This record gives sequence, structure tokens and C-alpha cells, in this order.
Amino acid sequence: MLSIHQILEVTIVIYMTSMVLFLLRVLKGPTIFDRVIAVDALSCDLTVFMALIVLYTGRYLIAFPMALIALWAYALDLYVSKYVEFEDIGE
Amino acid sequence: MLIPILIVLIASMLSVIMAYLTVIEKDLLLATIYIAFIGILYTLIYYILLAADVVLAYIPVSSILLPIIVIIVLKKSKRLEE
Repeated sequence: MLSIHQILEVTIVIYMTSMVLFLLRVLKGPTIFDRVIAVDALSCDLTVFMALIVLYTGRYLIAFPMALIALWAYALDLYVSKYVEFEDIGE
Repeated sequence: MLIPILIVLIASMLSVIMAYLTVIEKDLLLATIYIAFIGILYTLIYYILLAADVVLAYIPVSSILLPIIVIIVLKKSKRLEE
């Protein structure tokens, strides 16, 4: 019978492997948009990762920053795409 | 409790690699993306060390303020470094 801690440890290792794969995509990406999407995907990945850490440690009060990352993970996409498209970001 | 220490170790090593690449990069827009990547890794490290209030302050700084300020400066100068 597996406990939830063993399942969470295996899942956390899988997420760490995906973090290294995102780093490789950021380094290798042929265009600049691949790199931006890799950083954005890492942000969305980090949201789930935070939920796993909350389940692993058992401290449920630290789960609030997940909402903030889910809100603001796309901001870098907006800035970089506006800069590449229009050469300014409309400040 | 080996898993949190391992996560902090891997995130720290990746952030060191990205910091070196940020310094040697000639295209400054790519350097901005690398800085955002470093910010995400630092967010993860703060969160593993159970500093959730620091994470709340650091997410807007690393994902909004720092890239937008650097891109504004980049618009007023040149994108490629000689």
C-alpha cells in the first residue's frame, strides 16, 4: 500500500525533471518565442509544484501565492510580444 | 526531508547557470528572458524555505516590474550589444 508521501516524492522528482527540460528549451530554442513560452510554461508548472509542496509539508496556510503566480504568469509574454511586434510597450 | 533540500540544490545550480548566460548574452531581450527564468527559480527557493510572504512580494517584482523596466530601457537604446 503506497502512502501519499511516496506518491508525492515521485511526482516532485518528475516535476524537477520537467524543470531541467524547460531550461534546455530556453537555451536551445530556435526563435525567441520558444524561449518565452518555455518560461511561461515553467511558471504554470510552478503553480502545480507549489500545491505539491503544500501537500508534502502539510502547512496549508502557505498555499496563497499559487493564486498570484496563476494571475501574473502571462505578463512576460505580453511585454515581449508587444516589443517584438510594435517596438514599444505603450508606456 | 531529503526532497526539499534536493529541490533547493537543483534550483540553485540552474540559477547559477542562467546568471552566467545572462552576463555573456549579446542579445539583451534574451537576457531579459533569462532574468525572468532566474526570478522563477528564486521564487521556488523562497517557497521551499517556507517564506510565503517573501514570495508574495517577489512574484510581481520578478515577473512584472523587472522585465517591463528592462524592456522600456531596451526600447530607448539598442537591442544588440557590440
